Amino acid sequence: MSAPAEPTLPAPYRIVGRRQDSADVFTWTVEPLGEHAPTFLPGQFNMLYAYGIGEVPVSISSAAAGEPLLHTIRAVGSVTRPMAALPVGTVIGLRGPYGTAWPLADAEGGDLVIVAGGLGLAPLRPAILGALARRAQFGRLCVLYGTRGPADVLFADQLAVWRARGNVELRVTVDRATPDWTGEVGVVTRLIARAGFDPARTTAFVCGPEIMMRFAGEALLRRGVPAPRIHLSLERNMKCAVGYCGHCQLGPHFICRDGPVLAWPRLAGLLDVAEL
Amino acid sequence: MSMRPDERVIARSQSRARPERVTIDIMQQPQPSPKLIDLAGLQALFDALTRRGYEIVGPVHRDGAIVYDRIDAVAELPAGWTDRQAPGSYRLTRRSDDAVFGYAVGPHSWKRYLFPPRQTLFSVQRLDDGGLNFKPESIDAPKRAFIGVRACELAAIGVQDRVFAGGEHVDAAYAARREAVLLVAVNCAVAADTCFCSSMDTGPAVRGGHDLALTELIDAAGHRFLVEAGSEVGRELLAGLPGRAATADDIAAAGTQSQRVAAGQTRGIDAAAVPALLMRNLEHPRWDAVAERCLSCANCTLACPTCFCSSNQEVTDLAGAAHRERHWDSCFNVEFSHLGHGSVRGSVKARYRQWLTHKLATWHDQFGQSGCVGCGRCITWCPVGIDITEEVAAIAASDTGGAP
Amino acid sequence: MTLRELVENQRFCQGLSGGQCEGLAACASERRFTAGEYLLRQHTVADTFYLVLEGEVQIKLSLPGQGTVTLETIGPDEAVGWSWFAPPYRCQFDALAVAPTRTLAFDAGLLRALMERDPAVGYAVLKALVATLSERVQSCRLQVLDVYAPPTTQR
Repeated sequence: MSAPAEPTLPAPYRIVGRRQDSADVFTWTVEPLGEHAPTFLPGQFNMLYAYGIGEVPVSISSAAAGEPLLHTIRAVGSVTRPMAALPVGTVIGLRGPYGTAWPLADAEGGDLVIVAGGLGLAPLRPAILGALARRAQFGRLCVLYGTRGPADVLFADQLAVWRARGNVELRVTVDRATPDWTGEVGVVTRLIARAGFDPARTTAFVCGPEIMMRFAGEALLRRGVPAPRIHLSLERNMKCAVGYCGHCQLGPHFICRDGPVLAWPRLAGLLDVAEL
Repeated sequence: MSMRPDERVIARSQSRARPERVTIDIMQQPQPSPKLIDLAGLQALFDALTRRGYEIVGPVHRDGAIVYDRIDAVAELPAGWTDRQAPGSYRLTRRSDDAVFGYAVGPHSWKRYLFPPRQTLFSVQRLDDGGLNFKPESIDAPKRAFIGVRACELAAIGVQDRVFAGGEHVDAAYAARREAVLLVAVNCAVAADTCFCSSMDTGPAVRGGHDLALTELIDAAGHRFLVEAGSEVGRELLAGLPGRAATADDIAAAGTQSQRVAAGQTRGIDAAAVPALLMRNLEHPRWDAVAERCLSCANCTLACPTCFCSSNQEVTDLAGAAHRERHWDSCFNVEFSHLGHGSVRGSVKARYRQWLTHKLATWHDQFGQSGCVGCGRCITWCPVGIDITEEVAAIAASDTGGAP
Repeated sequence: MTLRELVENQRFCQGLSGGQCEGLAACASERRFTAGEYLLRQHTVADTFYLVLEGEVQIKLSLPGQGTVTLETIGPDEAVGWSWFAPPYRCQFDALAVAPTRTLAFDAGLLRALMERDPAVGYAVLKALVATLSERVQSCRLQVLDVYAPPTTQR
């Protein structure tokens, strides 16, 4: 029988660009070697494979159209640290896209609030770009971004472009400031109270460390954003990315297949049970 | 028939789950009456299977247990043996007769054949120009006939059919292996003390999804087998077997046997109530209590016929070739839920809770059915004798009702 | 808008009655700061309680040899300062306006006297103060948790 044993086989891609974003975060620009050119939606991820090293899930951080394929990766473990050392020109394996997307189309006609924490800005970047490409379909667009410190601010040049547009409320805050930082200081959840959106007609996309997403979700609820309109992007250990290895489960959800983007009501009762 | 392999697989498992929805081939033809055969007739069945190119896998007595292995002759079956099972305990004892299927279930399940412990997914070659060549592994799907498949095991195969071939991503290798398998089921004549298929509504009588079903009858009237067909292939095989038409008495004897086995089961779970019960008791102190006993050894997940978790691994050799292997994994392994800072389920309590709530509760949300078929293997093969029916009963007895 | 209306509109004063807001307004005046002007200075007497109407205030601390570091940003509809409430009535931090800022400035002496005289007002203000402090402690704890830290960081 000639059908492949693996439902999804990686395709070879080349690293054509590499940028160091902060001390431990880098972004790859990748291009397919062959015909492989799947379309993806903001919020989805690919499985990236490095020969002899391993495979990890990485969110797509580029726009769905009009931009080369980007992946922003944090060097934290036995696979991503060696990946950080790979030079431009290296061929890797890529399979995907997988997972659920940010419901941008559902958010049109109202205000859109993006709450990003740390590396969480990367999977939100395609959503922000998608909203900017159809800016007139949204009311207020607020991007609230919190990170560890000034040295950890990602996509700083892009943030400046967004701020300069004049039709995006962009607030950047850090947990710990250095003496030269003139921006806001404090946890990103505090920005939710300050931002100028109308809760009744708002959709919120939240991504960051799970504890930050929980507090941000609660702050959005306190301001009156309806729970079904709050969407989080969750992260769990992934191996197969197609829902059969069992690793990424959170309660009934396979995060690779039912997520990573999930609406708040589907997470009710799950996020606040320790070690679920 | 032009069905895709996965469609056929789903049709079979659906016919098990809802007996009134039978596969198309059965509806098109009148049901043949069951036959009665003897041991020689059983050997004739084995020979017919061999002639048709099937590798026969069946029960054998080895190392103090009844396990599954390649067989060719009826003489290799574990005649005269039965099992005594209890939490953490499995013993074989001699029967007073020579019944060949006179036991319940052993440590093996059929999943080791349909979902092998190790599989190569693809190989990767590093090319001279730095490129990578990904080559899928060809699928190994030998024609096999499984002899002695219990009702709970048929149900378990149906559960894994739904997991691997019933969703958006079909595991093509599983579907191929499944399509190449012929199932000769056996209606249980005994239940082990750890069996609770009756309460999980998966047995002891075979419901569907089989090609042939045998009921062994051994009494004053002789040692014989009632044989029924469950598919077109089964009907063809049945037609070629030497034997006589079964009488009403034979059929009644088989039915009585099944009822006796069901009535003899002492353990049970309230299958309809258990999903909601467990999900509203996620912080119940019973989880802490069971965690004090549980060794997190993963035996239950290895023995369980429906557990499907796996992991991937890169295997490289010195010559520069690499391949990706998929192997059985268990949610009891602490690394299973590893994420950044550490494992999400670092404590044994969290891992035990994950296994049981997945098996009995969230499996319903994911696959529309229970993950448990009531075979009792997890009870028997737990080194410390944890009994899931007892754990569920303890939580039910002091149900917090969802109060924190 | 009158002072009383400005007071009533503040989130801090949501639990207070109209009459109580009137009492508070009597202790208050509108005060503006240009960018770079201090609302409060470290080690000075804590004699004013502020509610921000517009603008941005940063809570800062100067560290010997390291310059001043910002610990927190306070925005519109938020309170600045609580050292005025209890002895020794000394500011622990600087509060600096980093944009043109409009505030309601409450004379601490008058406010404390009002709270002593009228326990109902006193309790209402105290409840609001505890709610503010609770929010600040929660935020501070999240900052201390260092949730964005790399996984190898020792805790």
